[in-house]
Amino acid sequence: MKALASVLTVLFAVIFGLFGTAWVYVYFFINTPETGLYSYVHTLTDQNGDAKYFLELNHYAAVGGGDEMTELIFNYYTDYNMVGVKSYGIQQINGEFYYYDGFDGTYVSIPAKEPGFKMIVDVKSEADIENGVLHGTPYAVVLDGTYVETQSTVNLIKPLENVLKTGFGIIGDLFRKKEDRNAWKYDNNGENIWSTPITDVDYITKSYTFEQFFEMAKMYLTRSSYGYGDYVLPLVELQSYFSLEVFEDGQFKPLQDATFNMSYFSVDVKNYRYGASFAPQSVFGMIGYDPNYNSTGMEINDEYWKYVVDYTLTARDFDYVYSSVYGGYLLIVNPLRLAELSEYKGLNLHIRLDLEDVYLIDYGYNVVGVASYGLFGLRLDSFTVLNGSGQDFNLLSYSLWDTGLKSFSAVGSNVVKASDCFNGAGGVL
Amino acid sequence: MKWYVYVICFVVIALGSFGGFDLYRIYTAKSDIVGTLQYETVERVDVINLDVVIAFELVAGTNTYKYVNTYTHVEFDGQEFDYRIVVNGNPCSQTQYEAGYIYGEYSLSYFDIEGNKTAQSVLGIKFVFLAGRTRLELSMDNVNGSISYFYGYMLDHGLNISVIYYDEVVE
Repeated sequence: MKALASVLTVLFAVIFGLFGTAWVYVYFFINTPETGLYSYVHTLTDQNGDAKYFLELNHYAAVGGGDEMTELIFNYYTDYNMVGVKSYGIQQINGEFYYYDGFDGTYVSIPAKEPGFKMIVDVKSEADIENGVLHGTPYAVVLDGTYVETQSTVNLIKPLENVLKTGFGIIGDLFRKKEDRNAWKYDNNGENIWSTPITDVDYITKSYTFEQFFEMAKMYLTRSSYGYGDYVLPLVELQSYFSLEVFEDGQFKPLQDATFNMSYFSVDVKNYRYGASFAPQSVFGMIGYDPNYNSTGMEINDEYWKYVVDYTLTARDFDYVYSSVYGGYLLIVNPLRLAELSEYKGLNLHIRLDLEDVYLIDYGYNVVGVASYGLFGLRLDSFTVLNGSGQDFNLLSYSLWDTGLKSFSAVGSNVVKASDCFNGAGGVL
Repeated sequence: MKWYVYVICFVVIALGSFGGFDLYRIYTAKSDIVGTLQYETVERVDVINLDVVIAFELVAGTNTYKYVNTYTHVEFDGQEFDYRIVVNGNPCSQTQYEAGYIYGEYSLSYFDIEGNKTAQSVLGIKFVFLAGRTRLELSMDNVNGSISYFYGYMLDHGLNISVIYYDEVVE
């Protein structure tokens, strides 16, 4: 009996010694303080001084026609000196993927980039932004080709362990004081041992393809609350797909090893309701490597010698002066409009003067003609007077001087021309 | 003569002199220009500036094509400034605006290699400025193949649309 008691005592000592050792190990070696490293990647500044987002995403939803098309563009610096910005683009249309390499708005087709491809960006600190620094610290975004997937598995040891704890606990309670009983039911955190999950969380590293990443990016877009339009998706967390390296001592080095790293990216989005139907819609200027892609069913006519921009002046673009001689208002060009139009070169100017224009009626302008030098400063193609009610429309001396007018017509008005109303070169009057 | 006859004659002479000189002034006056026009370039402020690629959609039962897209909110107050729509650096005609919208027309004439005008396209541009977003509405009637010419124009020149106002008065 005495020997049995000694054996049991030693046995219990060994078992509880193991528990104690496990506790010391967990307490001192497992519960290390948590650290987090957060990275924010937003825009780059290209060789023209323009800001570009590292990630751009264009989507043509093809509601009501056209083809569904998605484009993903990575913009990155050509080197750590951050001199110029290049682009790597992936286009998906009708389930097929196409790859492009771009610089300064020009793209060429290329094979898909291999995993491990580094794209240089810059990360600006608060101080950089406050000081207006053009480029921050160079970082490299690495397309890892792998991502970490979390997987839970059932741990059969845990329930078995709990059964043993419960059995020994109940037996042990027989020998304990009343106030010390039931302590075995709770773990170190004060939780009931049966309430803790009996699953283990495993982190499994899997490889991914660009296409899979592409589908994920598309999902971000089509399931966002923004809907259609142009906007920026802020703080898209892509740490699972990219890793970051910082440029230090002449080389890119992995970031410090924190308990968890989080990398956030701003994504410049263009989400169209319309489908893709011709090549210029694509940021790459081609669809499926075809710069002439056109599924609109419509001819694109670029066989013209030249085009001109027609600009039509209406009643609102002029000032009016009262003439007691002619019993009404005479039109003169508004100097502010003239100054504004002088900024634009090569306009083909037309005047379309509707005598029943609401503007003229509201202000009580009974327009009876054009004042002397009233159109000085304008080079005119045509002048049309509409909705006359039989009254005279007077073109005073020099009223069309130096306008180069090519055609004049008046509907419903009796045109009275001074013999010298048009003394400029050329013209039809 | 009585003294008052002298007075009347004097008044008649005075009035006649004034009338004669004024008639001479009126009938010898010529229209002319003194000096030259001078004006300053004022500061141009962009309210919104977009590079757009259009994929028109035919409005069923019509000859009109349309395009609608939504952008983020921008400040616009048609009651405060004098706004303009500018396309590829050129102004739009027929501009109308109220508190929360602006409309204009971008009109192009196309000429063949003989110099004949072969087509004209008129693009209606309307921006609707809402509290939470900005909507762009484009429309064009397809007259004598104007749409196909306009697509050709877009291929060559792109399409940049901006709404601007001038921050200072032109002098």
